[in-house]
Amino acid sequence: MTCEDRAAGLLPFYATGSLDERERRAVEAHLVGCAACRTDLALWTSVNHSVRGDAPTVAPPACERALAKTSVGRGFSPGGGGFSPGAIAARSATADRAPLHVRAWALLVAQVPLVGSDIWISSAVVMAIGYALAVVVRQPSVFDGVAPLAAAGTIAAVYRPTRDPAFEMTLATPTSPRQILLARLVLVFGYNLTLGLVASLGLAAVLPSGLMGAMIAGWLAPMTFLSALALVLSLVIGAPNAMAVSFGMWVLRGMSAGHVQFQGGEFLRSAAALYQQAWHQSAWLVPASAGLVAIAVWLAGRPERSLNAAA
Amino acid sequence: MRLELALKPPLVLDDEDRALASRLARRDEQALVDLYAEYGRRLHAYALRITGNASTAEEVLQDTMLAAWNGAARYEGRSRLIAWLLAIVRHHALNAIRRKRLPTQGLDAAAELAAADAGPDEQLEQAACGDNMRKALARLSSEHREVIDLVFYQELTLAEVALVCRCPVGTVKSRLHHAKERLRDVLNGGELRGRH
Repeated sequence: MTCEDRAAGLLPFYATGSLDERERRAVEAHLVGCAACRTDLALWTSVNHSVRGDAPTVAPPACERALAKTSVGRGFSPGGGGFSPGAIAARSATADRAPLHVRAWALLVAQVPLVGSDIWISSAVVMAIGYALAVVVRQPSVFDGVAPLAAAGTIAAVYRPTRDPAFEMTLATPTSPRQILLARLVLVFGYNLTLGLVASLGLAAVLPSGLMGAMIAGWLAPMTFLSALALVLSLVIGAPNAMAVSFGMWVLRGMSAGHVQFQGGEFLRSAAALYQQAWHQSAWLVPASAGLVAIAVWLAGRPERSLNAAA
Repeated sequence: MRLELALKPPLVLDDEDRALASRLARRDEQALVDLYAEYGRRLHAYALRITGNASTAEEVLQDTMLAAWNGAARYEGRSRLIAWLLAIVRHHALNAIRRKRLPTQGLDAAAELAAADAGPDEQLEQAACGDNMRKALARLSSEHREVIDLVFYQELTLAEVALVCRCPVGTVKSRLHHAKERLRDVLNGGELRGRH
């Protein structure tokens, strides 16, 4: 007999005393009426006693002896509870030096679960909607308007150290923030690019006038630039604001395409036309994107707020 | 003028951990010594749990202290200090396993060390109390045993276990549920009868 109540999943933590006051009371209230959970709690209590009973009560002497071997310059006192921070600092040069491509691949793989399933799912959903709309109205340009938004929205959310508790754990590994940023950028942009290519392939197969090359050209450069812009903005004004600005600029591009009649004279109409055309000029969009990514990498490497500054 | 960043989640450190982390960030070498004194045993136990090899676990502990020293300036207290350190241990331990092609181990290695540390009276007590449970725990997969270790030995919260293991909270609950079912099967199913 198993219990489906949320309290059942908290029983191990109740046994260790790790729950907060509110959760503890909820579990205790549930236990009053659930025999299955009382049985499970007895098991977890026994596990708790057994695990803690097996735990070493002192630091293994072999560990301190091993630390003594790394002492350089300063003394080490076995049993004195200490080891050499100088030796620790000196060891940094002997860190794991696997080949670059191995480390890069390991970094990419490590970032996949940290990016967040919401990013993968939301991008796929938006791309799918864009594809469906393009097929329904039989206009590939509809997908051109959707793909950059999907990419920019997910890129803006890909690097969020201030809202990601797991991020500081990643930073504690021998990986610089810039490497993390680049890895996540490659992952998410590559994912969006793949979705875009698959959708374009589908549109070319479905729509009679579809030339795949032309379809890709319609969204690739704008998607690249908008994503790079969203990334830089996210580092400065936060992901939600970055999304808003990026989306606003993209909507303005659509309005400038002539679907909205601008009032206010020739100057404004000319500016609108130039703004719209600029989004199709790969000659400047691609190098501008590269520049924005370089700025983002630089921003990611700046010292962040630390406990040292806050103390 | 620096623009305001997005709102940050509240810090979760208690005062002692906060002071220790601050000292580390200011490159206070005594802080590293104090960190080892406070958490070294637990970190070593977790490293041994993952690697199953005593010398490798010691290397992992050294790597962890090095990473803590180098990374202290970037630590902002979004998770408890012990959870942060355990995540570092896990990273280095898994790297060590891959690098040295070590097989994953269960309870046995750590249990043997603990038994060796215990005196004769403690060993008798261990034999008399919960011996079947200890053996049942040894039947668990390394994945389940790791979660058990983090919950009951390291005393992490559900969210912290998820962070250290880099998996969703639901996955942690699922692993605990399956571990419980496996323990129950072993304890009730007579797998331990007749063993000496």
